[in-house]
Amino acid sequence: MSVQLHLDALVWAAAAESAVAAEEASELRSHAKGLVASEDQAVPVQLRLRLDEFLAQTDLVIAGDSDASRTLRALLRELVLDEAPGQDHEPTEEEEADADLLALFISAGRDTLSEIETSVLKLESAKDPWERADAAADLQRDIHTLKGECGVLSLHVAQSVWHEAETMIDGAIDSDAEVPIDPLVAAIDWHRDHLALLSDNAQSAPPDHQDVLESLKDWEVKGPSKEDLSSQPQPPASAVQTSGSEPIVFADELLLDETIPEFVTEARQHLEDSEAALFELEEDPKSPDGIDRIFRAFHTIKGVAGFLGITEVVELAHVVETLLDQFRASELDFTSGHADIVLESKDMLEQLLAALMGEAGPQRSAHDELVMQVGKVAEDPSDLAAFGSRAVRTALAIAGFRDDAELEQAAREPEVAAMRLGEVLVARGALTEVELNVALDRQRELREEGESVLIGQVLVLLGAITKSQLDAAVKAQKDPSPLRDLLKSEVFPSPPAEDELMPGSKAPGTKKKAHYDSTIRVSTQRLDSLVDMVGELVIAQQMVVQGTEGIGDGVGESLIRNLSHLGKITRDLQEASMSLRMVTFQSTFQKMHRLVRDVAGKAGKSVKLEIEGADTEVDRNVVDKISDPLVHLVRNAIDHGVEPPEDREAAGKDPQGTVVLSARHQGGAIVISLKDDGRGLDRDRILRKAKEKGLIPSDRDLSEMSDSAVYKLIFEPGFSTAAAITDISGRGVGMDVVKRNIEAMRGKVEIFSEQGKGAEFQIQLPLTLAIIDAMIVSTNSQRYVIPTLSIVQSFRPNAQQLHAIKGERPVVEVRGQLVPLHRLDQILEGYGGHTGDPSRSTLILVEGMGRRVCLVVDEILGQQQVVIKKLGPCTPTARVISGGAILGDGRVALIVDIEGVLAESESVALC
Amino acid sequence: MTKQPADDPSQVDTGSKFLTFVLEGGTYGIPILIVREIIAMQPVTPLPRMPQAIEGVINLRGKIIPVLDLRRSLGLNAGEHDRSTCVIVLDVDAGDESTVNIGCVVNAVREVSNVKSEDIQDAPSVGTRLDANYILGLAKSEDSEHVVTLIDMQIVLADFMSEAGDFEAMGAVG
Repeated sequence: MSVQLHLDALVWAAAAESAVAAEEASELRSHAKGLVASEDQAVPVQLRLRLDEFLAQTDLVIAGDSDASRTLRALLRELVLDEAPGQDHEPTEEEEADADLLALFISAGRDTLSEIETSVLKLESAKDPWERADAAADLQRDIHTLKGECGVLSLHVAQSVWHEAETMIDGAIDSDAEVPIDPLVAAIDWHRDHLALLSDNAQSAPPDHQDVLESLKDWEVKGPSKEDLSSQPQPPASAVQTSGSEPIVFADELLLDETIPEFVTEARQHLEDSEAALFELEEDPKSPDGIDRIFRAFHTIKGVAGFLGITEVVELAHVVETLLDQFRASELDFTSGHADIVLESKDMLEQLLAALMGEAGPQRSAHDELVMQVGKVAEDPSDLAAFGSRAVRTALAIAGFRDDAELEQAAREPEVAAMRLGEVLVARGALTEVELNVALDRQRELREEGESVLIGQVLVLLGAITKSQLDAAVKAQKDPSPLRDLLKSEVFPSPPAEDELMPGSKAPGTKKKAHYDSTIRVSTQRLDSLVDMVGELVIAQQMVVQGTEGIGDGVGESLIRNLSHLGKITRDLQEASMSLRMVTFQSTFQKMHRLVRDVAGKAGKSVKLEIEGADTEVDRNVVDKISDPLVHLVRNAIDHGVEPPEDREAAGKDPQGTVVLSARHQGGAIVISLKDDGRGLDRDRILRKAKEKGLIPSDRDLSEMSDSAVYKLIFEPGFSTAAAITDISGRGVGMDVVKRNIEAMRGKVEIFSEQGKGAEFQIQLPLTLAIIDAMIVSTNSQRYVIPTLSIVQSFRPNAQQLHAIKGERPVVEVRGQLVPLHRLDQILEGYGGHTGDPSRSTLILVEGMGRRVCLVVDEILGQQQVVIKKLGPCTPTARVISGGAILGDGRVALIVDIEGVLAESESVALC
Repeated sequence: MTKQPADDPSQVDTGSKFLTFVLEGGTYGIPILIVREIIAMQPVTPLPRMPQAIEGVINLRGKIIPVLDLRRSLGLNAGEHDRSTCVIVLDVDAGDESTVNIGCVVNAVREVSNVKSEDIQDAPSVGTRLDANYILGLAKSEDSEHVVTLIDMQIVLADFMSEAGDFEAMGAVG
């Protein structure tokens, strides 16, 4: 077995909640041993080191030590946590393909929604019945398509909503009533939100759909079409059960187990993986990787299902695994027949998973038969006869051909069975003969390809009839309910979670998450180069404009007009290209929930996380880079900010602490704030600590240090030591990382704190990392770019403002504060000293990390946006220059790194 | 360090092409394969706190590239720029399958000449104006009567990069 397999198994085992039983332990043991034995580099060293400990524990459990069981589970979690980051870096191709699919769906879904909306509005405004019928037909078709798409992508909540909408419209049309508009509009809005959430974060759960569903259902109840078949979308399954074939229903405890949704999500992903691998295998039967992937999927599912005690899943996964193992071990070809078996098993597993989520389960008899058949083939994979046209036969068997003779006949002439339904449909006028024949041909084709489809399904797929027509036809066919039941379960593989069958299972159904990661699948490199090029275009355009300015009166009016038009287009283009890279904070913020839970649990505190403005858009690079600092800040807020519950109660606060994470736009920047209602920062202790650490001279007069300057001391690298964590009530861990990362993004952090009330960390970031607002200044005949974000003000000083301390160090008084003065060119070159006559220069007051400095420049040339360029291999080692920008005349100007300059000014001042 | 030309794989091919150029009156050559383009001299933005050999940065069609004054880095006197002064832009392998462009200011570009490997002689230990480490060899080109000093750009750039404080990004040159 591969290393990955062992790892998977361990991860799954860790996901299960209960303690470890002896047989599990032995299985775990074998997995762990496998890991130890394999010399694969994929196994992290840390994991390796701890496996021995783990093995010892498994031995204890096997020996019957019940205490060891929990220890083992805890150990397992730790192991897997250590190991997990490694796993994250292995997005498979299939996952990407899935994400592509979802991305496609989201964009297509938006279009479909708009179409539906148009139809709805048309329906509302339609005057004569003919027009109305037309609009209603459009509407039905669109909704049906959308529902189908939702089903394909396992967006079951959306599927159920649209199913309900469809039912409602059918009911209205059948009873010649007006189609109610409001619930439909609500459904559209809901779905829009859903799509928006999905596109921001594919993991996001659908928005609350109960209201929408209720309003759709309400109308049905009130509506005049109650007696119509289609207004009862899900008759209780018990009513249609026939002897010997009951749906698989899982016990309530299992359904309510909170790990189940997770398992189902993961298992579905595995099944999708395996399906992709299957198709690959059909292309290249010899591909060993393909078999391995499918095997791994089923094996993992089996493993976890085993832990969770879902026997049906285990049985099936086990036989499929056995079958697949035959191919792994031998030279046998994996034929499309085998693929059918695996596909069928996969479908069955999916139905079982749906049942786990509280939806209607598959027939037990079908399940048992499948297990048996797969088992047979697994014994001798070359003997496919045992399976053969099984797919067709099963379908027909359930379709009412109960006895063998009839089945035989039906197997020989599958069309006959289908014809019955087709005839009914034709008779009801829903279908023309021609359409029926087309559908039958298609069905035959599919069957020849080894796929089993029912005619009704084919018809719906072809769009020839609507589901309601099919339902009606099925009813009219007067066939005993199994066929209809089957059709229903075929056409709607996953009926709504609200199925009355299992009222207790609503919650897990709505929790269902899509498991895709991103909706934009363009390589960031390409996107970056586009943004770069647009940046160049902006500059080139400015150059042209500047060029014409010099010409003077000779410039034609039309040229000026065209140029301004070009300018507008260029700006629009720039904006559009920037927006391509915009993503929301949704996923980054969502991750914090888990972190808060874990950290709070570890610290023995109760903390709730509130998130605001997660839909704020920002450049993707920013989102990627903000995650780490946020983790540190959140951890700190909980670890050091929020007090233990008893302290909080003593202080008259809610024992549960609150941490608010918010993002918003402010000016041209993004402000991310992390606010806790804990004890706040302790100014005196920070100062004491800073003196101890030598971060500030011990003889310095501290009373004049502003609070914000004091708080910022915690960002000093020396401050975050182990001693600081225990001695200081405030923060300390990883704060220098926070500062560094944020500075690297040209952002800044501000701390606000009120003793006993809480602290707030505000991170200010530029909207994008590629373009900044900047002031162009000149000094000593060179031009420099200063980021506007760092500039507090610029001014020409008067004589009263200028002072010189100790004769040498000039300072300037700005609003009652004395600020050191440096010539920009000199500080860049690394020597301080005289500043010329600053009263005739322009001063720029800059600020960063709580320090302020006035830079003396000759002239301010203007303010503009510049595209930041790397200087390449020649970036100066001293951090005074952060990059270069190409100005309107095509020449390069250097961007001043204000933080670096401030650090530099400090060192100049000290010498 | 004196290089045996025959040891260097890039020099084994008979008739390797070199771009020859003038630096303070002497003729020098570098392998044509590492040359990306030759552009006219343009305003250079000086970088603070950099070794003298680094003239500064220029805008190469939207990309900022550093410019090296080859005369300074080879220890020659730096003269004024004139009309024939130009910048040779080199493609320098940055290791991770990407290339970095570096410009070199030269007095003038002369020609591309074929140099047979057997025509390349070891640099004499005395009598050259350059640091012997930088010299790959001396050659008389087929179609010119000049004696061309072939420069080992790898070493020149390596020195340059280490001076610039960022040597890691550089891989083999030429």
